[in-house]
Amino acid sequence: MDLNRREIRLCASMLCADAGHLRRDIEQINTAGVDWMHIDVMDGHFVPNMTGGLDVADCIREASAAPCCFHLMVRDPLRSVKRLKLRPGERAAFHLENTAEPESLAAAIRGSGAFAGMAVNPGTPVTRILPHLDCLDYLLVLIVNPGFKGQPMIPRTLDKLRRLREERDRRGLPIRFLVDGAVTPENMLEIVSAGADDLVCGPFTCFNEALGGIGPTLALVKDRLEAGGYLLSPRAKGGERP
Amino acid sequence: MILSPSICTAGYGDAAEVLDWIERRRCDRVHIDIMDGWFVDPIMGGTDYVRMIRNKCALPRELHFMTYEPEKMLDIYEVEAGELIYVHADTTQHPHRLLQSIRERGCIPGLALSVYDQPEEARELLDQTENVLLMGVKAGCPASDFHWSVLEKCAQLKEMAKTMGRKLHVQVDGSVSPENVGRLVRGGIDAVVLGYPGCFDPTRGREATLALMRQRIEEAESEITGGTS
Repeated sequence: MDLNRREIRLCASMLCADAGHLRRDIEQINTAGVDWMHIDVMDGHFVPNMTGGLDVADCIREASAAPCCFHLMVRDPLRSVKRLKLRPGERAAFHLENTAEPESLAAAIRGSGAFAGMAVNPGTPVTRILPHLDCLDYLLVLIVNPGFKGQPMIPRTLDKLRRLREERDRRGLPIRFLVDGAVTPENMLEIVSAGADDLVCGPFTCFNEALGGIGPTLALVKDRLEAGGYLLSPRAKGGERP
Repeated sequence: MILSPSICTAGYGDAAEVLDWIERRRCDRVHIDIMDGWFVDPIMGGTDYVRMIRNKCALPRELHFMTYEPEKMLDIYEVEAGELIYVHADTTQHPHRLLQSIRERGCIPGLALSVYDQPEEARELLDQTENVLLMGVKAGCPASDFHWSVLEKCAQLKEMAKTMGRKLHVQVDGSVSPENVGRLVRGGIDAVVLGYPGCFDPTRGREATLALMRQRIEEAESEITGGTS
C-alpha cells in the first residue's frame, strides 16, 4: 500500500481555541489556512465533559473560511444533527455506541448534503465498524478516549487504523480517515503513514504557544507533511505562511 | 434590583470583551446557562467556556444547570465556592439532597422553576435554599412569550418561606426587558437575568438598553418608596 503522495487535510480543533477570543483565533486560522474547522459537541452524558452547541457552531460558521466538521459526543446524535442544521459540504461523525440505527443516522446527515462519519473509540471493536462502512464517507479514528484535550496517544490505536485502512482498500471504498487526539509534530508522520488522510490539529499542532501560536504551528505541520512526501489541499496551501 | 447579564446571549466571538464591559458597567453578577440537549433542546455553556469566565471576570457567578443528572455536572464543572448554583428539581430523583450537597461544596444552592412548575412543588425544598429562579419563558426557548405568572409565584413563594421563618430571594429569567421590568420591580422580584431584550439587544445596542433598564428600575423603585428616592 503506497500511501505517499496522498493529499492530507488539516482540521483545526476549535475545542482548543481561546473561548474568550474565539473570533481572533478563527481569523488566525483563516490566515494560516486549514481544510476544516473541527467542532466537538459534548453533552456531559455520552462523555464526562460539556461544550457549546449550535450557538458556538454558528459563530464559527459565520467567521470561518473553512467548512465545519462536527464530532458528536452526545447521547442523542440524531437530535444534534437536526439541531445543527448541517450545511452542504460540512461533516458530522457519530459514535456507534450512541445509536441503534447508524444507517438511518448517516442518511440523515447525508440528507443535509453533509458527509457522514463514524467515530471509533479506542475500545470500539473493528468488527463492529466493518458492517457499516458502505454508508459512511469517513471514519473518525480516536487515538485517545473522547472528552478531553491534551491526553497522550494510545499507541495500539494505530494498529486499528491500519486494519480499518486495509479493509477500506480491500473493498475499494472511498472512505477518508480522520485521526483525532494527541496529534503532535513528532508523531503525525507515523499517524499519516498508518493510514490517516485528515488530522485534527489541537493543542500540539495548531494552538501551540511554544511553537509561536496558530500561524507558525500550522506552517510547521504543513512543512513536515510536504517534507514527508505528502500533498496539501489548495485550501490549506492558500493560507499565508508567517 | 440585582442585574445579571446572561453572557451566553452576547455572542461567542469576543466573550472576553463582553465580560469586561459587564464588569465596567457595574452589573452585579454574571449568569451562565448550561444546557445538555436532553433536559432542554440546546447544548450550551461548556466547561472551557465557564473556566474562561472564571478567569476573566471578577463578578459573582450564577450557573443555571438545565441538565439531567445535575449531581455529576457539579463535578464536571468543578463548581467553586461562592457560586450560585441553580438546579431544576425535576432533573434529579433527589432534589433535596442535591441542594444540600451544593451547600456542602461551599456554593449557594438555588432552585429553578420552569414556566409550568408551581410554587407548591418547591415547598419541601425551601429549607435548603434562599434563592429561587423563576423562568419567565420556556427553558431553552429565549424568544417565547413572557409568562406573567412569575409575579403570583413570587408572592406565593415568599409567603411560603415567611411561614417557615425564612427569607427568599427571587430572580426572574427570560425575556426581561425595559418594557416589563417595572412591573417586576413592583411585584417584589429581587433580581433579573438580562438576555437579548434586557441587555444585548442588537437593535437598541447594549449601552442604551442597559441604561434604559436601569432608568425603568429606578422609576419603579421610586414609585414604591413614594418618590422619595
